[in-house]
Amino acid sequence: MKHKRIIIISALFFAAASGLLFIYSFEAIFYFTVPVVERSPEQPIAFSHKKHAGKYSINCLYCHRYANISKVAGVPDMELCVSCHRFIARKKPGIKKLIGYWERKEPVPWIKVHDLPDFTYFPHNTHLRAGVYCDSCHGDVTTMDRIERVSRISMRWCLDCHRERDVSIDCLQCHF
Amino acid sequence: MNRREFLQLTGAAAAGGALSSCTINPEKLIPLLVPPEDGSIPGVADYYASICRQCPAGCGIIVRVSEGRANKIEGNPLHPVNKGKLCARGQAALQALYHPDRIRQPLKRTGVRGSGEFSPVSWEEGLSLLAEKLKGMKTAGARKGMIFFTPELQGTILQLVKAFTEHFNGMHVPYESLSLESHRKASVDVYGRYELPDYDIGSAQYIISFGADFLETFVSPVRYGDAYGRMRRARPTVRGLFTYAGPRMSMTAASADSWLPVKTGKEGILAAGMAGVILDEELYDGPALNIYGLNVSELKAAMADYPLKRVAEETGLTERDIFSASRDFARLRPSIAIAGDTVAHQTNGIDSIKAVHLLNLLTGNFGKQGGVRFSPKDLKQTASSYSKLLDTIDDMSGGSVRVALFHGVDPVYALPKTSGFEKALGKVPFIASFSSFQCDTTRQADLILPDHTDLESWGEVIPSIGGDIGVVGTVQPVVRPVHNTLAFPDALLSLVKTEGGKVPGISAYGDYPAVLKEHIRQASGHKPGADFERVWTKTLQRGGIFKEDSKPVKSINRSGKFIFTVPRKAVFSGDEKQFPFHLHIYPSAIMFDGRSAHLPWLQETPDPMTTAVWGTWLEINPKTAGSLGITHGDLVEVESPAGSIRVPVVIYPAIRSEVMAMPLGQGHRNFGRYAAGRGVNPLDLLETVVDKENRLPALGATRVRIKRISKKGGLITAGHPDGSYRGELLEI
Amino acid sequence: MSKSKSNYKWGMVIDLDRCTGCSACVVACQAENNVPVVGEERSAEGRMLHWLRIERYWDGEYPHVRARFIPVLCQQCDNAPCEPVCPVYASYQTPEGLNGQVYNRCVGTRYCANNCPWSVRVFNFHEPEWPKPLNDQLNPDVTVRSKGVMEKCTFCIQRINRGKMKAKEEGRLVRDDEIQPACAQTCPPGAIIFGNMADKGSFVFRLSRSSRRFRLLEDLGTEPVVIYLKGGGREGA
Repeated sequence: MKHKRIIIISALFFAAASGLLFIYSFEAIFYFTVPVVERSPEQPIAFSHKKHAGKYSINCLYCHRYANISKVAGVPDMELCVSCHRFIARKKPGIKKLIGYWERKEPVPWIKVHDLPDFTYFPHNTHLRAGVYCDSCHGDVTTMDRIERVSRISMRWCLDCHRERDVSIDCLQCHF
Repeated sequence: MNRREFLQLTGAAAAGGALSSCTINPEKLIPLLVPPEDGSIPGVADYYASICRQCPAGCGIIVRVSEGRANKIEGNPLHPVNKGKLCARGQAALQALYHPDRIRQPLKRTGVRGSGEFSPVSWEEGLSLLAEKLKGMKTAGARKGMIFFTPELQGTILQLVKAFTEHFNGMHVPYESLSLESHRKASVDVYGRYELPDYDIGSAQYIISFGADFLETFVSPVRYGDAYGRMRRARPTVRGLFTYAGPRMSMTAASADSWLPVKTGKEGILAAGMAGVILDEELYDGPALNIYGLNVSELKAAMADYPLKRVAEETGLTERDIFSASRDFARLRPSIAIAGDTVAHQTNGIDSIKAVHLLNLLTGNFGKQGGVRFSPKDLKQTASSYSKLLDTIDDMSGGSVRVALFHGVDPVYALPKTSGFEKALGKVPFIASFSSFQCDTTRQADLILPDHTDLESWGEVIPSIGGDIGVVGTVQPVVRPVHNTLAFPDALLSLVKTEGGKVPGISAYGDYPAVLKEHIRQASGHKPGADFERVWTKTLQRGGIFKEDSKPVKSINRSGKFIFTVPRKAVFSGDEKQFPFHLHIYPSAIMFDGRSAHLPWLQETPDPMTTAVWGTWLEINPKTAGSLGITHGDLVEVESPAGSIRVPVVIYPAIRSEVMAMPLGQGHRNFGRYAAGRGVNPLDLLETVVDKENRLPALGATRVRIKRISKKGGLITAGHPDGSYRGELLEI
Repeated sequence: MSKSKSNYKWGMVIDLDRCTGCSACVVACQAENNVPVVGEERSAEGRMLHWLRIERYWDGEYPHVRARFIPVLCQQCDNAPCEPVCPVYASYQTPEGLNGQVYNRCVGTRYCANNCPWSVRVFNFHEPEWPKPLNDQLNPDVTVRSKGVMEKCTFCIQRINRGKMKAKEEGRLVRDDEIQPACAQTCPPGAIIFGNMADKGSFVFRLSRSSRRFRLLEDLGTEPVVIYLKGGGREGA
């Protein structure tokens, strides 16, 4: 009898462990099988964060100007790009392309790299104010010629950080 | 299956999942071309103050706008009329802005009239087409060549419409389907005031309402709703009491402490009888009566033929109930007697309203806190005149009207069929509408020049009551126009201009927003300049100029003497033998008079009393229904001398046995996908004029008979017919 | 578990003596929370999605008949019957005393709605529709639920969260009256009062101690946090 119970318990344990393993391995597989093309898609204009944020040390908030006051960080409006590039590096092919968009009054159709599901509420301003700076999620963009997703952006990844910092992990904090 | 196989399988599945997720098209990040001019921040909502125009009450609203889209309407806490509160209809106005069936550009009729075949035209073409037709008006010299139908207007828009109609030799006909004409007439006779009285319900101890549904549709429901809450529970030692008298228990009546189911058309007799009791018991305020110019012995003489016994007999109530209501009314001061739509829409309406006002005078409740109040200056509001409207119909059928213009009204829907409005309109050679929706009238138009909706336009609203003199609410656009529409006042201005004309005192300022700004400057008493620019911005931010006057009128200034007579007998259309039931038509708490029926939120909001949605119904007393073999949800045919309609039945426990009630609001033939062809319009059962002498609308003066047709009435209710879905909730 | 940790315990008082049944709260809720309109057919099937409804009760017979209104919304029970039956933990108790419903977890078993004595949970039997441009009216702060998902009153959690964030930034607790769900905000006679029950000085707490208090189906022992105040009577407050 006793033997049987041990078997049952160990079977249950094994089931639980393999379940966990399954979830973890699923995530791992998911992450590593996402090709670089997906994590770092080619953009309509080869904008380099390495140059802007790295070489010229332009503050993130100079372009993503709503990050500390709104839930969205804000994609810089075209006028902002053009306000510099009307004068700077006008001959370069990328800039020519930009000016082309601007003159056609068309927005640049940037490809979204960091995409949260619609049922998740993520306020940028709250995170910045809590000391979670841009690089915590977006990586060190000063080294990226083309922006690349370095975080998993899965719920467990969010929760890990929330737990570490002892902030609310209540579901309704982000899902409503 | 061994472990290796299992892992291989899961691996494949995981990879498959990953792969399939990769094939999803990547989302795009579309930047703005230029940053928003108003400094608004994406992701952070902006709030703009404006005024609700769903009914004439003129409540202040605040509209939440995110990323250039309006997504919530709330009450404006600074506005003295509604103090931050808002009713269901006011909130649903948002859906008019984004309604899928809005008219999106100017349209010219291509098919036969009423076919709904239109083709888009440019604004230049549309305006010049109308200008051409109007030009003829001016040279023809014939008076009344053009008729302009609008709701009751105020301020600059009224000025503009008047100037416009004069310029083109036309006539302005304001029209409200729930006309307050009889109230104004009675008010002039009793108080010498043309404006509507305001009732300080919040400070009253006792209220008796004679068919006034002040919590749902009467005059200013949000203002009175707020006051009602305070009347009940805001004072530490007093809970105000409320009695309702009327043949049907309305939503407002449901909140009353007692309901007096008075016979149809006898409300005035009841009020007179109560006055008689107060006189007999000497509970009146003698000094006040002297001030008001009333004489006790004269009043007693007027009541001589109406002892309490006769009053009880005529009204169908018990002597005890009438006596105790009278005593409560006289003793629990300050008290208020309010006469409402049910009373006004009888052939003896004006008399009855006067009898109700007599109660207020007897107890000296005029000009007091918790009584009847008027603002210091008589607001000469333009009011509609039913009689004038009927004359206009004659003119139209006579063929003297060449052009008919419509803005904000739908008389084809909102007038009884027997008025012949639609037929007369057919004789008018040219019809143009400024409507945002294809309502039943606009459907007949030859040209549609769609106006902005309220949330896209400029304007000003003087509240129908409670905005003591000095309250002017400002309407400002909270979003850019969604479609290719043009503001109605600007359309008028440009029509005058294309014609080379000038509107006196208005053209000087250019476009309509400039006209409005100048008007507000004058109203606020500021000089033009930088100072005023600040005031203007602040006014728009607050939602208007609010100078609440705390000094109400204390004395009555009427030209003649108020001679009280017991209301004469109400006359009804239809013989009592042939048509045994009274038809009681009331404005719906949710749809009002039908102007909000196109909004899906409201269509799906259960009627508070019946929980019915998406349709019309007929309310019948359970005993009557039983004797006729009718059950809940049956389809019946309701027939009056004027016509017949088919409608499902709601068994309604709180209605007199000889009365059947129907709400206004549905039965539009057009008006967008949510309202078109839904329910029936009880106005189809009415005769245009029952009271030949006064020529006032009478929603409550028709007799009907009914016949059961079938079991399938198509009634949809949210709750269970016998109560609600979970009866045990009541065990309280 | 972390219940004791929170400074907030959200509660509501509904004064039936003030409620007039006007249904302003019903539309306010629908507008704020992106509650879809289901149309005539689905309404006839009883599949309307209102999170808040006005119950109307008839009492007595003509002429001594009374009608009473009770606004019924999620009672946010402390011992909620909806929570333990969810197989995927989509309905759960939040640290601030709400009955949370996590849409992205919900698999649509509808056990919770089945177990709710107040019938305040509604299920999306169909994909919601907003014919263009009616979709522009949607509140961007609230998820649009899809077919197969259970939904319910959240006490306007988006407003609660915003209020809490603001208070946190300013280093204080949420003030009384600072957060108002859409229904309470619009209620013309002021019948709906919302606030923090953990704050003994709050208006909602003081009202909740009234002698007129009762709770719907109190004997079920689910400990609702929505407290009703009886109407009627000739006495003072």
